[in-house]
Amino acid sequence: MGLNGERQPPLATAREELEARCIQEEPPRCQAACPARVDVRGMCEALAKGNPDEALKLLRKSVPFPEILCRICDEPCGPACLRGESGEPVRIRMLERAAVEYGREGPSRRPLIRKKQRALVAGGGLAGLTAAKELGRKGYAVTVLVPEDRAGGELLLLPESVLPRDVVQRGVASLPETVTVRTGAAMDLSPREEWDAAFLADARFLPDMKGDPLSLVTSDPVVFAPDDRTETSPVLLLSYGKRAALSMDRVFQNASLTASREGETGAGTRLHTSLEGVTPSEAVRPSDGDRYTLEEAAREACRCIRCSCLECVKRCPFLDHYGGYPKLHIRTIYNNLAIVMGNRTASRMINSCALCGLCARVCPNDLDMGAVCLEARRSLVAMKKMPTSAHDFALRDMASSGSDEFALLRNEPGTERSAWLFFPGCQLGASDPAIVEKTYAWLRARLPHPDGAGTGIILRCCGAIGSWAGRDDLAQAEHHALLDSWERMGRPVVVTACPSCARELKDVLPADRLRSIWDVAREFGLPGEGELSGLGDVRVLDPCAARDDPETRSAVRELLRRRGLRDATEESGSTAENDGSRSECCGYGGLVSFAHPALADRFADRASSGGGTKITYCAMCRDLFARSGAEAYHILDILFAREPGDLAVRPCPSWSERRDRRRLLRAQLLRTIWGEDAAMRELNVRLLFSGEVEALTDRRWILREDIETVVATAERTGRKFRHRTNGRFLASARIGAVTVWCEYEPEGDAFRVHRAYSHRMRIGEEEDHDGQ
Amino acid sequence: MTANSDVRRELAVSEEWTCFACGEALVLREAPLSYQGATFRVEVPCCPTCGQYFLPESVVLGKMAQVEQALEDK
Repeated sequence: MGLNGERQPPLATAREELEARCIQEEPPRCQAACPARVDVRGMCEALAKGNPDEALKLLRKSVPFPEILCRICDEPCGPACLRGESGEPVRIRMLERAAVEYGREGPSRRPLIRKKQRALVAGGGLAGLTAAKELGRKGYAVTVLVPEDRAGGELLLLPESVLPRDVVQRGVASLPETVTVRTGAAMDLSPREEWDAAFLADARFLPDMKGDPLSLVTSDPVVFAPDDRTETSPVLLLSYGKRAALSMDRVFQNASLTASREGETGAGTRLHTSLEGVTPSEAVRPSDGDRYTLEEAAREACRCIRCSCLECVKRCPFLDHYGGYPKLHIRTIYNNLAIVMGNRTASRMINSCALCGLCARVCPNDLDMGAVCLEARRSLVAMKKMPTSAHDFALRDMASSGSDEFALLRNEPGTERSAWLFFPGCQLGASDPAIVEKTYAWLRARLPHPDGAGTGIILRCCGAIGSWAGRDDLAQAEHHALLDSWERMGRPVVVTACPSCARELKDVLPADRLRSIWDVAREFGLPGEGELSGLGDVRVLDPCAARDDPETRSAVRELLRRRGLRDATEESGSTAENDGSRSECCGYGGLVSFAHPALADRFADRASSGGGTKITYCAMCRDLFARSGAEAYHILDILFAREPGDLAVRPCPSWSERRDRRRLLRAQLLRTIWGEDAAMRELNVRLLFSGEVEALTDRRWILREDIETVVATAERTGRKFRHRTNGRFLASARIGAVTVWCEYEPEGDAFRVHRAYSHRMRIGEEEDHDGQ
Repeated sequence: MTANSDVRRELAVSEEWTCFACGEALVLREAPLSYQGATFRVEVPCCPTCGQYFLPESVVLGKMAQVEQALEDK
């Protein structure tokens, strides 16, 4: 999944289908099993917080007679309760009773607005009383026909110890004033002209008439009856009353009997809830017979798992940051794209996803928010609504990788064709040029040279930056440039050293022409020999791009084993948590670092958390983990080490250093292998920074070379401001899409930089300077 | 931007600077600002002789960044 994996339908045409994949809004199993649809989860939440008033309020929303039902409910929720799979089910009915006994209700009631329609309810049992109460509350004039001398029906047949008579009486007394109970009634419906719709709650009235299972409508469109007239389950009888009342209300309002009622029947739910981390527990036993004290109820309510999916949110800093769950975000993103006038406030969110696809991996329905966000980015680009600031720096970096100053393409000296082509990617050399040189030397020495074809090298971008930015045009331009070189070199096997490059090029090159350096090393032998001991506990942190590449993940582990290293957690077996199949992004993926730097830091912190020595095989992961304070090595550091003493955690380079190192790498390779001198960038001015200013400048995406341009231009033209007292200068220059300002002062033959800042807005007629 | 008194206060820092080439104190003058296809005019300190504009860090990272963000969301 993710960028090149299994496709899901596009947001533009399948919004509802994508929304339906997110099942967070589905009811918990208890609520789905309850014919009255009681919000048990909410009730437990309230009781657990010691708030029985709120619990009773929630209960009463679904149950017109909670004081009756909490004593006699047949509890279909019990067997459904997921807690039962980890101990005993939650004692829901007893919690309802606690809500009824300890909850207090405020006096505020909606004013009753009387309506002219008349409802007839045949039968004064639980179903009839429920329908009467619901309809009466809505203001309809209700007549309840009761053959006996008092209302209550089957409720009056229960033993006093189970349901005291006075509880039933109080229930009857709670009927609104719009309801008239006619006791001693005949077993016939009153004359038609006296009512507008009727509910046959009691089976003794017209026993042959049965209703539709959902709306309860009978062959007579204004007469309603249960589909099973012999039903005795209290909660089901109550639900019949509720459904009949809703249907009759709809008849009175000339509304559809069936629209939007799917949730009223059926006991199923698609909600997925993980039991990971849930400790089995037994139900709280009441100290007083079958009643909980408020404190016991709170303890029992705490046993409720609060069924909820959020599998993706639990694992993704991006989804966690934006709150809610994917279904809500899909709607927001869809709306963001559909806006004609007004603000697109979700653009930053769209650009803050790592596009890594971990959400799809852990989602019960494979919903990939990365695919949604990528599609949204492409749409923003197509509509010319992509915020320039989101990816401008990254795209300029990508352009620089392909420029003459940084790019390199060579066959091995003395060869005309290449059998192999080393593709280190843009960031390995930017992180550590020496490791690229060593690796290339090792590949030249180790890889076979069939028919005089050698091992070439290419320094440039794979196109991933363009793909992540939604700029398929730029990505394809990189692919074409690569393909063109590759054809000319004799269609060599491209050896990648970066999982993101490998994933990007999977759809570009034929499968048999693309191999990872780890796979090649496994076949042709490691650069270093012997066991590396003394590294302590080692953790292998797989890059997100290798999540769908089990072969690479196993190759890496084998290489490490050959050097005597093994992921410490693998000793107790390989699991989804340590085999890399659920690896987390470092925050560079999807260009999060550029669109939302603070969030990117959270990705890196999270992915590299925990103790031990971290080994990864993506240069950006390595660098960002090191910046997060982890003892992080690139696997090539390990493979080339002769002994642990060779290893030292390199700090994460700044963006300026990355540029310099790429330039240096190209120059070094040209000089040492091909005996050529590379034209190095001429330094016009020499800059001095304090560590603090340099770090701040880097965080603001301002390159040292951009500041050099500002200072050199100001010094050459005299276009600058001078501070009246401290003698410092302030100058600016337009570089690409930004204006860079620098406050500086001369120091010897150099210039000390005190601050640098930039804006995108153009002021007046600024002259452009090429920052490259 | 000039309607905002905070911005005015921040622009007051320009009184501490002079144009190096012309030696002039800076004055407030209307300047065109453009971004994402939108153009508007605001008062900005500048050299009265050569016309080079002056923008302090507090304005660039404050109000100006907010306006850029708002225009990007349009």
